[in-house]
Amino acid sequence: MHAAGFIQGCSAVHQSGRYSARGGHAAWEQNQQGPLDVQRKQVYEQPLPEFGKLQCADKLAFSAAAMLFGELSGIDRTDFGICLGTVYGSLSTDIRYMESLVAGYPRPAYFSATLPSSPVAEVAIRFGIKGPNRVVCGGACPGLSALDCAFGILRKNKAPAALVMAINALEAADRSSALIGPAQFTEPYAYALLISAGRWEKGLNRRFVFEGEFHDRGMTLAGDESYFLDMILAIILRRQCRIAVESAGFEGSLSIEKD
Amino acid sequence: MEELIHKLKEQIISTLNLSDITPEDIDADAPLIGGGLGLDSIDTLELIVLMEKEYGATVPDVNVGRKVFSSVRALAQYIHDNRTKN
Repeated sequence: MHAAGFIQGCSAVHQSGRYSARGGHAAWEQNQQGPLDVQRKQVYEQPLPEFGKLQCADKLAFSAAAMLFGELSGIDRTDFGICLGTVYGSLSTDIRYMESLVAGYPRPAYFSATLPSSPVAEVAIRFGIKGPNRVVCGGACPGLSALDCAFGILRKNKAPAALVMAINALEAADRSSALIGPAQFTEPYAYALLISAGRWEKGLNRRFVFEGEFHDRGMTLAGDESYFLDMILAIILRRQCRIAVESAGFEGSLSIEKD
Repeated sequence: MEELIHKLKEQIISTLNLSDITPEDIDADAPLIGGGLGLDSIDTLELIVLMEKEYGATVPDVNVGRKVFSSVRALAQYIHDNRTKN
């Protein structure tokens, strides 16, 4: 496969800090453990009482989307698509819900977020996005599969732009769960890219090429999908780059071309 | 009653993990659901669980629920009148 488009916005909520195209890098405060401790004021300017209610995957997705859209004023997001790739989906929330059930008081707030698609719903509702959406959960590189889905949406003219998100929202307490193999522990992260098929009058307009072949999308081998962070760093630093990806699920490259 | 109202405000904030809100920000007589706190139907269910777990008070039907969740003061009054746990 070969797909090309333009990146119009990007952000990352990562163990090493928060990143966005115009804002660059911001480290966590000393009392913050990382992405799951993100505070509303670090990603979104307006007061939002609901922020604290968001479950971990939803919170990471909202935070990445809020940082990205916070740098894109005056655009109509209504028809945008959303494509999410997530390694463990809502697994930590599923566990919290089961714990509350066993304790005799099942928590509705947990139950309502026990779906891998929950982050997409939160982002769509909070940012008024009504275009098509896709969720890829599991596999060796779900973020790249989500990117592939986004290019499909753009190719078919189903949306003028697509928000691609790659998320791993597993809480620390669950990383030793018997459900997950010891080689698959990764720190939580959320990456977001806004891609369009053509140039925008006002936008980042970083031309981007995605090429290669998917092998086995069914195999779950959680890498950290750090190629997204490499791309975001190239955009922040206004550099070109070509990132080779050789994983169990995909072999190919991601290229950010000259600014 | 005022003591219970204050405690309920704190419990609402902690149970629902509300950000950017302190007990002083919550008007005891303002609508609890659909108001400035951004609470929705899932939060109503959370509050029903809280009432049962902490106070042993249950909401038998929707009509009672509408009155109970009309404000923090109404919620406190209902708990005061129907609690089975101290």
